[in-house]
Amino acid sequence: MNCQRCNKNLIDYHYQELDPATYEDMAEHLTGCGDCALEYCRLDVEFRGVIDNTRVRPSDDLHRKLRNRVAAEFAPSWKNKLAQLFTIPIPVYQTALLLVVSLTLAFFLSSERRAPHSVSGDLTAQHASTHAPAVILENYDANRLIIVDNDQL
Amino acid sequence: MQRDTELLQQIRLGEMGAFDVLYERYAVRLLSYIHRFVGDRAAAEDLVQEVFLAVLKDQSFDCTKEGFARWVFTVARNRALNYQRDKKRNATKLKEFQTLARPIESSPATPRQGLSKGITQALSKLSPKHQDTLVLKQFGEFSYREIAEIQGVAEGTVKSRFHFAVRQLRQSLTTRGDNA
Repeated sequence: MNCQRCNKNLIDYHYQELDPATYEDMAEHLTGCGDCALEYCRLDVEFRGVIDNTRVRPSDDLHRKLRNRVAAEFAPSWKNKLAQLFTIPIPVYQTALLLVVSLTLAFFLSSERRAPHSVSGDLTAQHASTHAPAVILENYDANRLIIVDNDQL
Repeated sequence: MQRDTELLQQIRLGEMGAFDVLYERYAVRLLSYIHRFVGDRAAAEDLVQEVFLAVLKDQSFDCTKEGFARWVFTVARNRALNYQRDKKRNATKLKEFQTLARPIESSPATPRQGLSKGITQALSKLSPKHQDTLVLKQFGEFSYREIAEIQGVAEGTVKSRFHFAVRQLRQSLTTRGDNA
């Protein structure tokens, strides 16, 4: 690359608008050529000057005002909250599903373990072992409960 | 770092932390860009508010695609041009036109005041199209292709406008330096 071509490409080089091959050539030329390197530095300073000179800092008031307006416009509603559920990443749902499944399993297993104690067949077995006649509980009324003495039987 | 489109979605769901991040990213760039058009700080700040709200409300932008910055600056450019047009239409006195054409006042004195003043003068000598291209490149940090999409012209046109603007700017600065 010669200085004339380098000078022509200097602006595009600064903004990385060149194709990779030309960009490499430019970089190589600028490393070896003092004049072009100096020209590039000047250009860089001028661009920085343009930015510094045209930059306008927003007032704090602008941020506050705009924030209030945005907050009023997009305040979370039930609709937004519902929509938010669908924006939660998939791993969160997977963890939640795993938790629900394991809790359900644990509940069923524990209820199965408790179940044999409540079976009425056990009572019959108890009666059979003591040879006592079974009490007939037909037409049972708790208000007129008859206390039966074992000796009378 | 969260992408602009992700922040946009969060803001729409009422997440104000996301708004603060997006504001931090765009406020200075947008305000500086609009200020070049309108030349009035208060009006520029009002327009920045309008642009932000319009962008946040407009559901037509596809958040799954890139190009949020390009979209924001396109909206900003259109609003600023409308503002300029309205202001011109409403102007009844020649004086007001002169105010519009006057170069924008530079910020308070700094050690680099000379260069600053020179750049302001050099910029004001450029045509609005060339100023727009230069400022979009500087503040928008867009490629030629992106600026072409914003301005609705060919990529080659943007490239030649930008090169012309830089050459003019440098020439003005050099002439000024020689005269000083």
